[in-house]
Amino acid sequence: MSEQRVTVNRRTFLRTVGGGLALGLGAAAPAGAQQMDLKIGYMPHPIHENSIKWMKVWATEHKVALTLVPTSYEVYVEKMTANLTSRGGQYDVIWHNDDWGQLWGRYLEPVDDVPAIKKMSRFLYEPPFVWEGKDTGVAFVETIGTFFYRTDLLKESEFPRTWDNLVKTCQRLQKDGKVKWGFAGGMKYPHGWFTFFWSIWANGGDLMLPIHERRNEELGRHGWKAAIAEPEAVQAVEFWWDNIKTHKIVPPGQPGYSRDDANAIFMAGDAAITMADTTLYGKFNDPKQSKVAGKISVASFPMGPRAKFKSIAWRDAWAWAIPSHIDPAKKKMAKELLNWINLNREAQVDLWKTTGGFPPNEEVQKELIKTDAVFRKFRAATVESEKIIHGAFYFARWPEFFATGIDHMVKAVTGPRDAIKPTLAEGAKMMSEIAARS
Amino acid sequence: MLALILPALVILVAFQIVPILIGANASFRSWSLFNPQKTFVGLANYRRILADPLFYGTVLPNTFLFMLASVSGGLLAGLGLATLINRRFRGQRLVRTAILLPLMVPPVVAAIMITWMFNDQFGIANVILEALGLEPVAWLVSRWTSLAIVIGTDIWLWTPWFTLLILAALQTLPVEPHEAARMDGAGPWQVFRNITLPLLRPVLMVCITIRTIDAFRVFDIVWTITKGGPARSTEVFSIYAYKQAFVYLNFDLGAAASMIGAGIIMVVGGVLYKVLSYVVEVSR
Repeated sequence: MSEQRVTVNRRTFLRTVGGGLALGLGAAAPAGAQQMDLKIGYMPHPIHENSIKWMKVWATEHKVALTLVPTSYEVYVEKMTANLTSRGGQYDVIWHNDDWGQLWGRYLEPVDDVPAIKKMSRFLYEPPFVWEGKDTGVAFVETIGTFFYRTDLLKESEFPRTWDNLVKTCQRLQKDGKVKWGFAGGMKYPHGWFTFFWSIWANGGDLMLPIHERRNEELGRHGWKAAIAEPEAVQAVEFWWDNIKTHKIVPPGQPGYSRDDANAIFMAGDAAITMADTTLYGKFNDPKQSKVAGKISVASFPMGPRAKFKSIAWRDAWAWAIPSHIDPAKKKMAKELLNWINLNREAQVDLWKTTGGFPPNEEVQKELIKTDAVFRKFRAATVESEKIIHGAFYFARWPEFFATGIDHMVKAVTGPRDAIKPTLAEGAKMMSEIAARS
Repeated sequence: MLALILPALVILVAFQIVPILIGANASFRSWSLFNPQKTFVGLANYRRILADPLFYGTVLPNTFLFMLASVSGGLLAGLGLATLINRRFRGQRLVRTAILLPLMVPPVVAAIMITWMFNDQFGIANVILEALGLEPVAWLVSRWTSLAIVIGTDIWLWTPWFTLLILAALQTLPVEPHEAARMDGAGPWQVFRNITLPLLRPVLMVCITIRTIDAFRVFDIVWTITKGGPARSTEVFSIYAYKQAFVYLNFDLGAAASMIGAGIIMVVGGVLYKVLSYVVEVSR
């Protein structure tokens, strides 16, 4: 009796589950046939969120469902690399930063057939987003570093143009009790652009030799030689050591700061100057988040004593890319989406107005130059500099090279001053070996 | 019988044995995530890890220092707290619950809280120092203050665990030897040292063994508080292996570092197990 009851129950259970599954699948099938789904892998950041806002507009018009998969910056490269190499189905469109170009090149769909790319500067694409002669990403913003300063503390004419003046200006503001710190910037890995890198570039140096070269063939031909032990870089690291320990114009905790830590200090009104991507302008200028909203402007890098140009800036892009292993119909749909955003004037202008990120469509930039004084000021502080370079390198072992460089620079600024040179020499040797394995 | 074991066996093989074998295989090959050629290179990856001055000069000392300081700190604090609350007093339940609170906080959440407390600009630690007329400290810029914060966080998180186990053991101890000692004129410290501690020895050894093995694998709080910095000076073994595999994308070196770590912890675990067996035998 008992056994019979068990059999009946099991049958009933199986029937119910089977029926339910059949109904569910039956219901899902027509829906799937009608609507395509695009899965977007992104990092929660004002720029991505702006781009996604416009993706949603397009998706609604085209009856495409978007699945948004946020991933933290801290694990983004690892997560996405694992997905690409395992041909995972988690993403159809992914955020593709310029300095991962060569890391992922072989796994990405060529996008040369996206017409909007022709409206963008080729400088953004070569070499970061080119793999075996084909473009692998569709830029959605230009990422350019600039100096932000408090206009209630400094007039435009007072902004320091040299390192020496930067120190004096910061000390004056601190001495007058106007601000706690003169400058705050991210320093630890992977945030070295906001202190070490800009200062090395502004002092006529670079991370590799020959300076400003980014083509892997040329770097290889010159022996993959790291340049952080060259006089320009040593002087830049000494500049930071002095700023922390002697001049005391930056917080003593700066060697441990990420860009977020430094941004928080600037937005709290505790630093007169910071260095960040222009894409942070919207955040710095948002009164809900920032005490200095409405009181900030931008300027180009103060130049070091060994500077070879009057001004220098980096110009790169963040792009969306399409994994090569996804369904061809999805690839086509993704390309249409990315093309639409970049050709949509309203979306491009909104990107600039909301975030401070430069729209990659150069026709829209030309229009903004004519109509928008703030945009003109941002351009003058950045892309109109005498020398424009790329802000990273594009060989596969860049993450290890970059981390090793920053770790040695942090070690140098936290150790004794006379150990800076040998510490950087040790770092340069390791970095050269890493690059040579690329 | 086999049918009963099979599901667990399949899960064990699929999610533990196979990944370990894949990892072991990767450690003998040239295998990076961006260029997965997987050429066999023998012991080359092991040689590179063992010859890395950072590994033997910083990572292993940090790992053993963390293990020693965290386990002994947690053990002493747990023993002290368990002894204190192993008596009747008003609010006993409330105190016991409060002591258990850190055990309920996820380690990453605790680590984020601690990071903010020791933030040099906005943290409460420097507010207190300044209120006392002292200079603020850039806590996370020096190796030793950073390590001290990490170890302190781990002790705070694990003390309730020690307290709970030791308290349970204290409540099962026979009262007769304690009463006899007191009647013979032994003071509280003598009773504790000569009666309570020897009777607790097997439980303490179990606690030490479990926590030591666990402390060797620590990742979450170190990653959240220091990420191994400044300049890799607080890297412990698991952070080193993670960075090799997932930051530098050297899957081969990360796998080799993990296998070396597994070997080390097997030796440490084996020694502790022998000591534990001996202690239990002696205490019978």
